[in-house]
Amino acid sequence: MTERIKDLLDEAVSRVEPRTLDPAAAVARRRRAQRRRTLVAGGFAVLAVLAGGGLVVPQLQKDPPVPVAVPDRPLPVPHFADGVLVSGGLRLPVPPGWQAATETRDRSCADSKRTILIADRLDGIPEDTAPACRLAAITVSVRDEEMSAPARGLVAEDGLVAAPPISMTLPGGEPAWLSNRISAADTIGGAYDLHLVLPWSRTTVFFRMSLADTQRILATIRTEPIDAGRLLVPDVPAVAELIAPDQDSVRHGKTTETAKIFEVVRVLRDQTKAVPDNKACAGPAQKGLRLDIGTAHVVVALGPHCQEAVSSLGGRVHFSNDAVTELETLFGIEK
Amino acid sequence: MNAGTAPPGFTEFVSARYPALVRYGTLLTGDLGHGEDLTQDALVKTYRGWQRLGFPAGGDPEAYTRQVMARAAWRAGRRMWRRELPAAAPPDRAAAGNAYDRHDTAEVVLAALRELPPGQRVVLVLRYWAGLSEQEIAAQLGCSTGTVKSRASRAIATMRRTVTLTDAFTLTETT
Repeated sequence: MTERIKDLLDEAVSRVEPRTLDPAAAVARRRRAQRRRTLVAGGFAVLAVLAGGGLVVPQLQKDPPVPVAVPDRPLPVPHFADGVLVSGGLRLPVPPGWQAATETRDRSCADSKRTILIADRLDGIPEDTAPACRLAAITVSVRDEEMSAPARGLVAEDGLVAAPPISMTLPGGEPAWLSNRISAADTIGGAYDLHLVLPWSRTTVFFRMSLADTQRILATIRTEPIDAGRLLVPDVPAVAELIAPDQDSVRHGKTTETAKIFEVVRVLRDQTKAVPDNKACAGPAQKGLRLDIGTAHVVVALGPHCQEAVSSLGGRVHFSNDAVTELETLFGIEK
Repeated sequence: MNAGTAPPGFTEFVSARYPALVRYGTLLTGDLGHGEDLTQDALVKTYRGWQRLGFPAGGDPEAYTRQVMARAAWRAGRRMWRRELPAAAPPDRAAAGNAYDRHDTAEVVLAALRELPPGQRVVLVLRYWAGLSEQEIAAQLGCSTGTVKSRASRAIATMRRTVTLTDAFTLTETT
C-alpha cells in the first residue's frame, strides 16, 4: 500500500509546474514586502501608544499613505526559463522554432531572423555593439544606467530636441516607451525597427522584423511589474527639461534654477493618486509630455480619459491637467 | 533576486530546486497556488537563515526549506490553506461511474488531499511520500509519535472512504 500511495502522490504532482518564472525575484519581493509590513505594523504600534490608545489605528487605516515606488529595485539578470525570456517584470515567450541565444554562451546564431538574443551590456543599438548574432530579430539587454524614452531628434529654434515620447502599457501593467508608433506609417522602405524600453525592468527590447511580426510578438508579451506608487524623482536635480507636444513640432524649456527645479519636484510629488497595474491605460495613440529631471525621466501620457505619468526610477500616478499646466508655466512654455 | 545582495549560492539554489519544492508544497496543501505560496514563504525564511546556518557548504538548504514548509503546513489549521479551499476542481462525490470520465489521476488525488484536514495531509505526505518514520515525523513537527500515528491512520481511512479515490486506486492497479 505504501508504494501505491507514493506512486499516486508522485503522479498527482508530476505535471505541476510553478507559475512563477523568476522565483528568486519573487522571493526577494516577498521578503521586502514582509519587511515593509513589519515596519508599518511597528509604526502603527508606536503611534497607537503615543496617541494614548487604539483610536489612532483605525484613523490611519482609513486613509493610509500612498506608497512610494520601490527605490531599491535590483538590476535584473535576463535569462530563459521554460521557453520564456525573463528580464525583471518582462515575460517574452520564445516563438516556436526560434533559437534562444545568450551572448555570453552563444557566439553565433543559425538563423538571425528566428533568434532571440540576450545581449551583454549594450552601449547603443545591437548592430553596433553586440558581437554575437548582430542581426537577431529580437535582442534584449539590460542597462545599469538611466532609462529614458527613445526619441528621434527634432530641430527646434534653438537646436535639436527629443521628440515627445510614445507610451504603452504592456499586458500585466508594466509601462513601456516606444521608439515609434506601431503602425505602417512608421515603416521605412519595408523595414520596421522598434525599440521597446521597460524602464522599471531596466530592459530594452529591440525588434528587427516586419510590422506584422512585431505586432504578433508584442501580443505574446506578459509582465509582472513591481508595485507602482508615487513618482520617484531625485531630491535636488541640477537640471530639468520639459518637452511638450505642439501642432507640428514641440515646445520645450530647460532650467537650472534651483527654485524652479524645487517647484517642479514639488509638482511631481504632489500627484498622489497612484495607478495600480490593473488600471494602467497609457497607449501609443496618446500624445506625450517628457520631463527629464536629473537622473529621472518622467513621461506623461496625455488625454482626457487616461492621463498618467511614469517615472523611470519607479512610480505611476494620475496626472492632473492642473499639474500639466503648472509644469508648462514653470518652464515658460504654456500655450 | 539582487545578485549583489543575496547571499552567495542562494539564487542558484532557488533556481535549481524551486520546481521540486513547489511540487512538495502542492502535496502539503493540496493546491498549486497555496503550494507555491508556502514555498516562497519558506524560501524567505531560508534566505534569512542562509548565512547563520552556513549554507550551502555547512548544511542542506533544501532539507531546511522542506522542514519549514512542513511545519508551516502543519500549523495551517489556523491559516489560509484551511479557509480557502480552491473551487476550480472540486471533488464530485455524487457522481456515479468512472471518475476518469472527468478527472485524471492527478486531479483525483489532489482533490482527495484537499479534503483532508491539514494535519492529516502533512503526516500522510511525510509518511508515504517522503518516506519518514513516525519518530522522524514527530521530531520534525514537534509532536508525539502517538499523534503522528493517529493522524496517519485517519488520513488513510478518509482516503479509502473517498469514492473517487477508490476508483483511482482501482485504475492504478489495472494500468
